[in-house]
Amino acid sequence: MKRLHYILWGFLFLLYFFCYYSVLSHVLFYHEQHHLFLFSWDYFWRSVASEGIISYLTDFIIQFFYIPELGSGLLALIIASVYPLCYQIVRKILGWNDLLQLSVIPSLGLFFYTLSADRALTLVTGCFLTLLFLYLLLVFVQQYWKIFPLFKIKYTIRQSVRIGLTLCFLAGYAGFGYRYFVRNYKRSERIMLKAEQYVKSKEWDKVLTYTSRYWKSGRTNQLIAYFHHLALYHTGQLSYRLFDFPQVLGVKSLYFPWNSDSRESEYGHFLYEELGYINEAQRWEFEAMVVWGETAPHLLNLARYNILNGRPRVAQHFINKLKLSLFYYKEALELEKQLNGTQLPDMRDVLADVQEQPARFANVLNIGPELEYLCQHDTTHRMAFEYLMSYLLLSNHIPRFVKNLKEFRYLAPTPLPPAYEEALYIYKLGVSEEEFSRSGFMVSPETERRFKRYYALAQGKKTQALQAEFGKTYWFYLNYISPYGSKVVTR
Amino acid sequence: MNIRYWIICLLFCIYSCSSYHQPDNRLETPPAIYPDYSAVTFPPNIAPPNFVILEKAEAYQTEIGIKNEPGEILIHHSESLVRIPEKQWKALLRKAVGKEIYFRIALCKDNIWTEYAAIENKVSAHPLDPYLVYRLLYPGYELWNEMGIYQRDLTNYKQTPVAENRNFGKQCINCHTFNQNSPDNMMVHVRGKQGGTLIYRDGKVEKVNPKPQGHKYGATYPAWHPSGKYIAFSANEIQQFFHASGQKPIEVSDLGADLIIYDVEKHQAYTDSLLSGDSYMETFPTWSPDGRTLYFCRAQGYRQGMPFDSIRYDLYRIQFDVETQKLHKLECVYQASASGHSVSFPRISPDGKWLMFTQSDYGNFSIWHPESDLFLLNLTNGEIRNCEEVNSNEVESFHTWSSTGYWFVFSSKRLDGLWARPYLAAFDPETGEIAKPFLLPQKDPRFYDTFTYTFNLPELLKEPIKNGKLFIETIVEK
Repeated sequence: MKRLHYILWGFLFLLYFFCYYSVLSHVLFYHEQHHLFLFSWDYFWRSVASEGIISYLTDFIIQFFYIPELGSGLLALIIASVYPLCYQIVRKILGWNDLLQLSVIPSLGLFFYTLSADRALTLVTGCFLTLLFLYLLLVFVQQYWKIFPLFKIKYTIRQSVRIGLTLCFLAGYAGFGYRYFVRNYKRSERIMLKAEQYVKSKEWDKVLTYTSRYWKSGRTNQLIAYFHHLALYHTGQLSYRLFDFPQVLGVKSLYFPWNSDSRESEYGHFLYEELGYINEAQRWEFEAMVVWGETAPHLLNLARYNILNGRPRVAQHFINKLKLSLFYYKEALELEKQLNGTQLPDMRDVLADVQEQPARFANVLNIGPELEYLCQHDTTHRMAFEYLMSYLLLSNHIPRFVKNLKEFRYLAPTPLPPAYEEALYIYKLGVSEEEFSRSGFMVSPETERRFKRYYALAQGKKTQALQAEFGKTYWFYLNYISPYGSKVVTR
Repeated sequence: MNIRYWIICLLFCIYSCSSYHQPDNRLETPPAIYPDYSAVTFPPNIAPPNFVILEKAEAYQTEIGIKNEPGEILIHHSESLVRIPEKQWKALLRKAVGKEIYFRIALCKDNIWTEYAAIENKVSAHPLDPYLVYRLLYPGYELWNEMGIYQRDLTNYKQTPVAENRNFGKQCINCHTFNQNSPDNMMVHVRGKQGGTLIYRDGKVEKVNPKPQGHKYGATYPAWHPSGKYIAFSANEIQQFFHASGQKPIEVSDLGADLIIYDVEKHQAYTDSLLSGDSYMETFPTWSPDGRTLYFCRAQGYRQGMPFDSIRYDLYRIQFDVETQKLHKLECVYQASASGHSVSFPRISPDGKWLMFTQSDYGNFSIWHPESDLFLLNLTNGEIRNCEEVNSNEVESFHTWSSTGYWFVFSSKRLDGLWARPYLAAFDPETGEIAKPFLLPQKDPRFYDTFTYTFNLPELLKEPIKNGKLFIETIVEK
């Protein structure tokens, strides 16, 4: 019993460490991506003046989340240490051991507080530092004045009862803690943040693992759909698996229209960067930095986009900031070496050599014209082409789909993906034989046979069978899911 | 080891740190320093212009003094950063009024001291208004988060917040404007759920809506009438457009703009057919010091599909009858559009003789136009000249005069092309000559390398603003 609090401390540390390293790793990732600690006096004064010393120290701790093992260990240690600090403070003041192990409660409370990624860790740091300060104060006071304990209580109950009570309470904490954790654990948040993490590291298969998990739960989320389609494209599956899940959001599952939404501002740049549309990527990323602050992802991306855009002095500014950090210093130096070129590995500015008079302005609400513009400008731009095709299918623009498919046929997979053939067949049904033949496409007999079957089921209003058999077809999307209605847009 | 040994060591250190190193070599050229404080004119009340020597060496020696006189300040340092002691600098400036001063720099490499040619600067006889007010915010596009209006004491490095939007729900605060460099009359707009136009006058702040009844657009760019009784506003419909390619990220354009006059005593706003309507867009009003003439920029009205690079503003003026408040006699002062240019931000010197404006190729949001430069119109003879002394290849845009007319401050993006920083320049009201400008000094001269906020609308003030709290209280009051 004498060493119980050490054992409990160790146990709590291991438990927390395990959680932060595994099921809560997304929480650490989120905090690390939204805070940046800089080693400079200017940053210190500015931080302390605007956010306070606790926030400054919290940012200092958060920087270590860059290394998941280190971050998990550090956060686990801080939260686990709240227990022995409470225990010792109670013991010093009151002079008796915490029989009911009530000192576990603040530590557990702080741990549960961190279950959600959007909770500020300043509370954790603040509690820990306050308790540490109080404990040290008590030690100091006791050394010179010996006023503690304030009360002397002697247990009158037997030791076996005391042990029993302690164990009962610990079992209660464990049971309640487990229940609370399971009930309050945010699975959706984890999926979104893990998907984002893998989008950033371009591990597309892992992105698909998380996004598919979300889709399969029957829910819809624009961010998940957005990441899912990015991953589908990069794994060569966009045109084949576009309708694997119900596309209830229509074209908005492909991109974020600019809604002046601060939350969304963090995500728009991913697609534009992959498309090589650097001015738009830069715009989204700058808006995100304005809202979310000067954090490493924004600074790195802004440095990269400005290098590609031929603005090395602007890029240097962001690099200067990153050079003051502990873990992004090397990346900053690498970028600095590339300042005077306009090339970066794995990135390109598709519109780098465009000089238009009069100037062309981006359509920030509708990506369709932008995708067409990119395809026109770079006729080998496979990603722009596949996204354009997806956009036209999702927006019911079948004639425009056929027109663009004809124009960039060489970029389409051979044989044509089923969804493309399904759309072509719809087109064929709506135009004359002669007009369809002018498109230069054929629809396979198999597709025609499948459509007959689809039509029969639809006419018979056998919706369940229709969904089971044709739920992943373009026909089903057009007739039953498209948010723009079931009519083909011919404009 | 005894205490005497340590005292001797300490004295030796002090001696070696303050003693003058005789150079072994001399160079004819001055060293490069950053910020560029060479051949500039300083006011006699400016904070020490600390700088970085852009040469690598083992040790540095900087001597500062009045030309042809022995050095007054001697700084030894092991890094290239030169921090000038504030007290000594102020003492030097007191003696150097109207004279030239030098920064004589010597570098030690391989134990050899090399002295560079002295960097020479002038000290003006005319003090600068001691406060500079600006808004700090990210040079972003549509979203905003933290921003604030700050005032900097130019005689030292102290910056104090006037109003930070974290104190009123992170709403947008903009367009701070003063009457004749005095904080006694101040105006600011707040955009957001508690938005409105705040006017400080006679020790009180009022939140008003200076939009005339039935008018399409809200009050935007202001100009105080010298009497303090009126504020002229432009009322603009502004849109942002984003370039798909190229280094210029954004185009900001008016789609409509009129001028209105707001009577701050009667709380009435009115306009005139000469200054409103769809045929023309009128913006950026400014009053002559006698309050009898209103200058502004005017372009053809926007029509759907019109290319933005065809919108060009000319400089106009209209007479204002202070007694009857009538506007009459509209005339074009400078038809910039005839030569393919566009005018923005006209500002008249306190003596009424000079009008400084920004000229760009098109549009009026010159802060996003790298080609925009400052120009000077002599109101006595109508001559216009490019202020080449202060212009660069990057943006020169917003500018304001000091209360004396011997100085002006302007925004320039010359350091990197994105962030606007305040530059100060001496002006001779007799000849219209301008001295080489200098960047607002900071305690750490590398400050601008990592500071990611832009200095928006720098305005010189004779006295500090003391009513920031009152502004915030008025914004948040229900």
